[in-house]
Amino acid sequence: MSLRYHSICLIGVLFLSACVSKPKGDILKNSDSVKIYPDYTEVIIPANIAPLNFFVEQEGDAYYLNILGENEGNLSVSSRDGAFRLSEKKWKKLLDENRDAKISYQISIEKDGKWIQFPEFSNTVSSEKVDPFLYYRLLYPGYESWTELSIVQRSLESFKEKTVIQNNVVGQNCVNCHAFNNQNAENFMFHMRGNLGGTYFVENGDLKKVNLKTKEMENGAVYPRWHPSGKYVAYSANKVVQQFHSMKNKKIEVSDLNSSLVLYDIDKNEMMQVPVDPETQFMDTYPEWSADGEFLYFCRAAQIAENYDYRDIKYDLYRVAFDPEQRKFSAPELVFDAAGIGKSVSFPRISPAGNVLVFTLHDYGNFSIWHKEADLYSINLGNLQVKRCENNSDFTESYHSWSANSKWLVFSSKRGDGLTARPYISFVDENGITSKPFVLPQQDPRFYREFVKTFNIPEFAIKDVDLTPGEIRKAAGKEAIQAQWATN
Amino acid sequence: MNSVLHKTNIITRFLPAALLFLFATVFLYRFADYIFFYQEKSSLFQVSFAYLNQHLDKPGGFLEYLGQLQIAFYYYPLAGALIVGFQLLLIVLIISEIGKQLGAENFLFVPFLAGVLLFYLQTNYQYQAINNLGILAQLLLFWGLINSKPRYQWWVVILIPAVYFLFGSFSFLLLGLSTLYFLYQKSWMKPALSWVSIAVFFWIGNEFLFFYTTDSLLVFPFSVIAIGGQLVLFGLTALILLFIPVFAKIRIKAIERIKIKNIKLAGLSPYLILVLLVIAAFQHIDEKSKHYFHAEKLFYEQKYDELIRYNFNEPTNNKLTLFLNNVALAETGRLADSFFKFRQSSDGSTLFLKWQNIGQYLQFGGYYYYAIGVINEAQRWAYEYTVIYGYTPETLKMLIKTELIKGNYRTAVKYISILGKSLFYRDDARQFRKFLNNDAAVLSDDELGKKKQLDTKLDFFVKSDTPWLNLLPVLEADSNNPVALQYELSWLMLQKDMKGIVNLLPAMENAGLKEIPKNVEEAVVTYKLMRVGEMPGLTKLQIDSKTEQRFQRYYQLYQQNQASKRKAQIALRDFADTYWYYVFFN
Repeated sequence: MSLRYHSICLIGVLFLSACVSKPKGDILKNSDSVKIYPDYTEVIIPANIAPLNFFVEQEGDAYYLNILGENEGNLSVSSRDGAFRLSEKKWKKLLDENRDAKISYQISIEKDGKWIQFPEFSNTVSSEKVDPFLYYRLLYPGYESWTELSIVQRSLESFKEKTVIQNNVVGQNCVNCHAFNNQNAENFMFHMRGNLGGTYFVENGDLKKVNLKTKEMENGAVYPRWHPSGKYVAYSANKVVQQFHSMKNKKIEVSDLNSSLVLYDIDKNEMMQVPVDPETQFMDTYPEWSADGEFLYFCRAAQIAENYDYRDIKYDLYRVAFDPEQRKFSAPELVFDAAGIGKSVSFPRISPAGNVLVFTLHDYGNFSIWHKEADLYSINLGNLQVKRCENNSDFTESYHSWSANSKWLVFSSKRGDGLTARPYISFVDENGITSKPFVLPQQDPRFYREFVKTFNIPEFAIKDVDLTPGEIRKAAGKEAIQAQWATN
Repeated sequence: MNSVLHKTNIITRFLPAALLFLFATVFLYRFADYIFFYQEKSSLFQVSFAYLNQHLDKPGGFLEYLGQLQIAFYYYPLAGALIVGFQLLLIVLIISEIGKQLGAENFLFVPFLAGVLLFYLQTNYQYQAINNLGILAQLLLFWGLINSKPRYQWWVVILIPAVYFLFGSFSFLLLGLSTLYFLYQKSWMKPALSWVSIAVFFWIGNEFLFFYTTDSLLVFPFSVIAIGGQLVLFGLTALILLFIPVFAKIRIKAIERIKIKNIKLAGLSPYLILVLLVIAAFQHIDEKSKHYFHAEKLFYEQKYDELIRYNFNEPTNNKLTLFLNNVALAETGRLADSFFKFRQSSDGSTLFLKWQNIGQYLQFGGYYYYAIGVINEAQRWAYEYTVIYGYTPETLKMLIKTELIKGNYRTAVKYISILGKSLFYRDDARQFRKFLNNDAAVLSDDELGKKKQLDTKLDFFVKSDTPWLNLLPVLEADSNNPVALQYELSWLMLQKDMKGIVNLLPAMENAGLKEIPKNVEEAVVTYKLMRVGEMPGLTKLQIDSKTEQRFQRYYQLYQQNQASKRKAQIALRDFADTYWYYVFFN
C-alpha cells in the first residue's frame, strides 16, 4: 500500500516537473518590454481583486512568471502556451501581504532551448477595496433583436459569475436598465419589456412589479437613478429612434425624438413630472442625484424640429435643486455648457463622496456607446472645474459607475476591438486623477479575444442580489401595480 | 436442423431491419439529401467546452448539443444518410431485443413499425436529429434497465433526474416505459419513487436553477417545429414506443396463426410495411423544397451561372429562389439583361426583401446589400439573424467577409475563431485568416476586393423597409456602381417607369456599358417609338435596330389579338421574356 502510494506520488512529481519549466542555464536579458494580453502593466489594483490572468503574446516554447511582492511573498507560474492562470489562494495572499506596495512581474521565455528574461513591470496594490460585485447585462452589441438577455452578477474577488435575471425565465421579454441605490443591492430595480413588462423593484428581498407609465405620460420611463434616501427614483421618459448607417463603422445611430424627466415616489406609488421644462422646449435625459440628494443633475438639449440633423443635437449638463421633504424642485441651472464647445454630454455620475461628477463627452447626441470619440470627463463639484480623465483611449469610453468608497470607477470601453464594450476599472485618487485602467480579469486570459457579446451598464454593488427563477416568474405573472400620476 | 432454424431466425429478425437501413440510407442520400443540406446550414456545431457549457443551462440542452453534433456531419450527405439509417437500425434492433427480453420471442412487427414511422417522419426536412437521438437514448437506457438485476434497477429512481437534465422531455419516454415495466413486475415502489424523484428535481429546477419558463422546462427540446409539424404521426410513434412493454406481453394468437403458403403473416409483416414505406416515401418527397434547397446550395457555392441555368430550365414561383436568382444575375452582370426570363413580382419582392424578423428573410435579405455594396447593411442582416437564430456557417462567413471588407480585423478574428471551431469549416477559417491585418490581400481577392471597392462612400441611413430607396444614394456616391445600376434599372422596369430608365442611359454610358441590356433596351425602344418623351443624346450606346423591329412585330401581334387577353398571351408567348410582355400583361 505504502509502496503504491509513494509510487503514485513519485509519478506525480515527475509528471509535474516534466510540465513545469523554470529558467535555467544562461539567461539572456531582453531590453524590450514583454507584450501581454490583457494589458495589466503598471496599473493600480484593489487588494481584493481576482487574479489578473494574462497571456504573453511573444512566441516561445515555455514561459515562466515570477511575481515578487515589495513587502514580502512571491508567486511563480509556468506555462507551455504563454497563458498564466494564477492560483486564487496564492494571489490573495500576495495582495494581502503587499497592500499599498508594489508587486513586480518578471517574465522569462524559453526559445530554441535558451531562456530570455524580459524587463519587469509592476502593479500597485491599493488597500482601498473595490465593491465585491459587478453587475452588467450581456448582449450582442447594437442592433434590434434579442433572444437571450441576462443581468449577470460577477464577483470581483473571484471568477464566480451568476445569472441574476434572464429574460427567458418569462419567455423572451427584454430585460434592460438595472439600477442600484448607492451600490446597495437591497434597493434594486430593472425594467422588463414585452407581454409581462413592467418595472421590477426589489424591496427587502421581495420583487414588486409596477407599471410606471400613466396615461398622462407620453413616453415610458427609461433611464433610472435612485435618490440616496431610497424614497424616489428619477427617470427620463424618452421616445427613442434608431437608424443604421450605410457606411460608418459606427453602424447605428440612436437619438431621442423627445424626452423629459419624471420622478417616482416609491412609498406613495406616485409618478410626477420634474417641472424643469414647462414649455417643452428641451429634451431632458439621464438624471443623476447629488450624493446628498439635494440636486438632480441631467442632460439637456434643445427640442429637435421635424427636419433635424442628428449631428446638431448637443446636450449640456444642468442641475436643479430638490427638496425631498416637499418633493419640490427649483429652477434649473447650467453646470457645463458642452454645446458651447461643440460637444454633447451624457451619463453624469456623481461619486458617493459627492465631490466629483464624471460624465461622457462626445460630438453629438446622447447615446455615447456608439461614439468612437466619446471620452470620460470629470467635474470638481466644489469649483465646477472640468477636466478630461486620464483613463481614456482612442475608442469609446462610456457608461461608468462609482464604487461605494468613491475610489474606483468602472466604465465601458471599446478599446479592445472597437465594437464590443468591456468593463475597465480605474483607481481615482484624492485629487480626482484616474489611473490607467485594467479590464475586468477573467479566468481564461484569452476570453476577451473570443467573446463576442458586449458588457452593458456595468454597476458596482456591495451586496449580492439573490433572485430565483421562481420568484421572477411569480412576480412577472402578477398584475403590475399601476403608478398614479401626481402634480406634486 | 437447429442451425437452420437459427439462421432462419436471424434472417427473420435482421433482414427487414437491414433492408430498412439500406433503403433509408439510399433514399435519404439519393432522393432527399436536401434535408441534410437544410439542417446543416441551419446551425454550427463548435468543438469547445464553452459551446457545450452553453447547452447545459437547461434540461435537454445536452441532447440538443448531441443533435447539433450529428447535424454537423450532414455536411457530407452520405454521412448523414448513414447516421440516420444506422440510428433507425439500432432503434429497431433494440426494440426487438427489449421485446425478446420481456418474453416476446419473435417481436418483429412493433419494432419495424416504429422504425418505419421514424423514417417517414425523417423525410420531412424540418425533422431534427434530436428526435431519433432522444428516442434511441431512452430505448438504450430502458434496455439497460431491464437487463439489470432487480436489486440494481433502483438506479432508475436515482438517475431519472439526471436523465431528465440530459435529455429533457425525452426522458418522459424512459419514465413511461419503466413505469409500465415495473407495473408488469407488480412493483409499485420503483415507479412511484421515479415519478417523485423527477417531480422533485423538476420543482427544484423550476424554482431555483433554470431561467426558463415552466412550459419550456417541461417540453424542451421537443418542439412542433423540430418534428416538422407532424404532431399526429409523431404522437402515434411515441405512443407505440411507450407501450412497448404492453405490446411485448400481448400475444394475439389468432394473428400469429395466420399463414400464407406456410409463412407466418407476422414474419411477412415487415416486408409488407417496407413496401408500403417505399411507396409512401416517394410520395413524400417535397419537390418544391428540393428545388429551393438546390438553388440555395448553388447560391452559397456562388455557382451563379449554374443557378441561373437551373432556374431557367426548371422555372419556379418561389419568391426566395427568384430573389437569389436575381442576386446571381446581378453578380454576373445580367440582371437588366435577363430580368424577364424569370418570373418577377411587380411589388419588387423578387428583387428585394423587406426587413422582417423572419429567419429566411434575415438570412438572405442582406445579399442584396452585399451585391450593391452597402456592406454595413449586409452585415446587419447577418448579425440580426445570428442574434435570433445563432450561428450558421453561411451567416458567419458573411460576418467575417463584411468585417474583413470594413477592415475590422479585431472583430473578424473573433468570428474566424468561431468558424475555426467547427468540424468542417476549418479550411474556410484558415483561408480567412490570411486576410487578417492585410488590406492588400483583401483588395486583391476577387470577391472581397470587388466588394471593398464597391462599398458605398456616402453615409446615409438605410431604409430597410423600402429597400429600393437605398439605390439612389448608392448611385449618387458612385454612378459607376454596375450592380446598383442594374438593380435600379430592374426596379424601374418593374415600375414601368420608362422615363426613369431612359434618364439612366447617360449613367450607363459612364459606367462603361458597351451595349444596352436587352430588357432595358426594350423599355428604351418603347419609349422612343411610342414617343413618350425626349431621348437623351448618347455618344457610345446605340439602340439595336433588331430590337425596334421586334417591338413593331410585338405591337402588331398585340393589336391583332387585343380583343382577348388570353389570345394575345398565346400569340405573344415568344415575347414572354420581354419588357413589353411584362408591361402589357402585368
